[in-house]
Amino acid sequence: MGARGAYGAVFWGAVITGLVFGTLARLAMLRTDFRQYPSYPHGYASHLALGIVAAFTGAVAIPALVNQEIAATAFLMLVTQQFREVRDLERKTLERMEETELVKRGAGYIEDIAKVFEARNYLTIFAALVASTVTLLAWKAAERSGLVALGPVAGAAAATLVIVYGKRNLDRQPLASLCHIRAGRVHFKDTILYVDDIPMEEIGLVEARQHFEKHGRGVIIEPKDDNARASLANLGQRQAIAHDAAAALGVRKDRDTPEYTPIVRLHLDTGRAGLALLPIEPDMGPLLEAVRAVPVIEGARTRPLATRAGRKAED
Amino acid sequence: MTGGAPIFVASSPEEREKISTYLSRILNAQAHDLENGIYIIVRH
Repeated sequence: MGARGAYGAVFWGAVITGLVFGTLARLAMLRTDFRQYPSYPHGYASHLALGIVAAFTGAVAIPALVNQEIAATAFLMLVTQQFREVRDLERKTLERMEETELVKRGAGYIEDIAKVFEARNYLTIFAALVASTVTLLAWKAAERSGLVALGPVAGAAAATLVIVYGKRNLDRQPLASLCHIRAGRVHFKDTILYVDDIPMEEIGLVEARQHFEKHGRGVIIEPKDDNARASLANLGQRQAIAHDAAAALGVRKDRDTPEYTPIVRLHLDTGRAGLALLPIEPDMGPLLEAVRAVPVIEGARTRPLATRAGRKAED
Repeated sequence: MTGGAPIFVASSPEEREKISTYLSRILNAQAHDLENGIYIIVRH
């Protein structure tokens, strides 16, 4: 084992492998897509920078302990505590931005984003930790045979497993995995807006009704089972659908015309949902794609089928 | 005529439509038709 101050090749090999793979883990989970999150380039840079700090923290932890640097380890504990604040900060930023959005994200979606951000940082720390620890152990084990390159290779392999497993489990489910999504017909009965047979809202002004008849598009979202129905019923989930559809296709609305806000309403007898919006892009294909890709909000996901009462009531 | 909210009296359906449009834009609210000759302007 290394004595105090003995920072040899083993130490730096482990730390660098950890840092590289921790950063790769964060990069693998970081992409700005049509949802405009993280915002590019500064939001993206900020997420990446925090990811690198997290990777470094994870990478240095075990080698520092092995080198009996207790002060360093205590410092690292402190840094890890800071990561708890990260969720709060992210939530506050997104809440402030809500005022500027024509179609709001809603509290459920914001909470989900903040939770995912926190989890991804922890995964980065963990991937870096695994990489550096495995590198250290493999290096030490291979020292006698001289094949020290085995260290970083083993560390890389272990970290890759963590990244693949983490990405698969931490990636959000798209709505399409829970529901069938198809086009619906936007029409009026008197002054009430319908998508197929689902009543949406009452639109009083003639001009507004004409606007819907000309530019309105509808989507029907049918849950595949009782679990899906429960998730779809959640207000946060439906607000997320409205927000993402508007983000992808634009919406013909300004702040003084609330009746043009995308709206998602349930059909009370069947649990199906209808989405009515006035997209700037008129094509149905992209709209259906956008709705299919909406993430299932973790907070919305309840599983009535996992309870006995739920299973008995299953239809 | 009294009420819990301001009442605007219009002389024709066209004027009613015009007043409702202006008020809903100004107040950032939505106009609803009660189908008894009355429109209500509601901020949701």
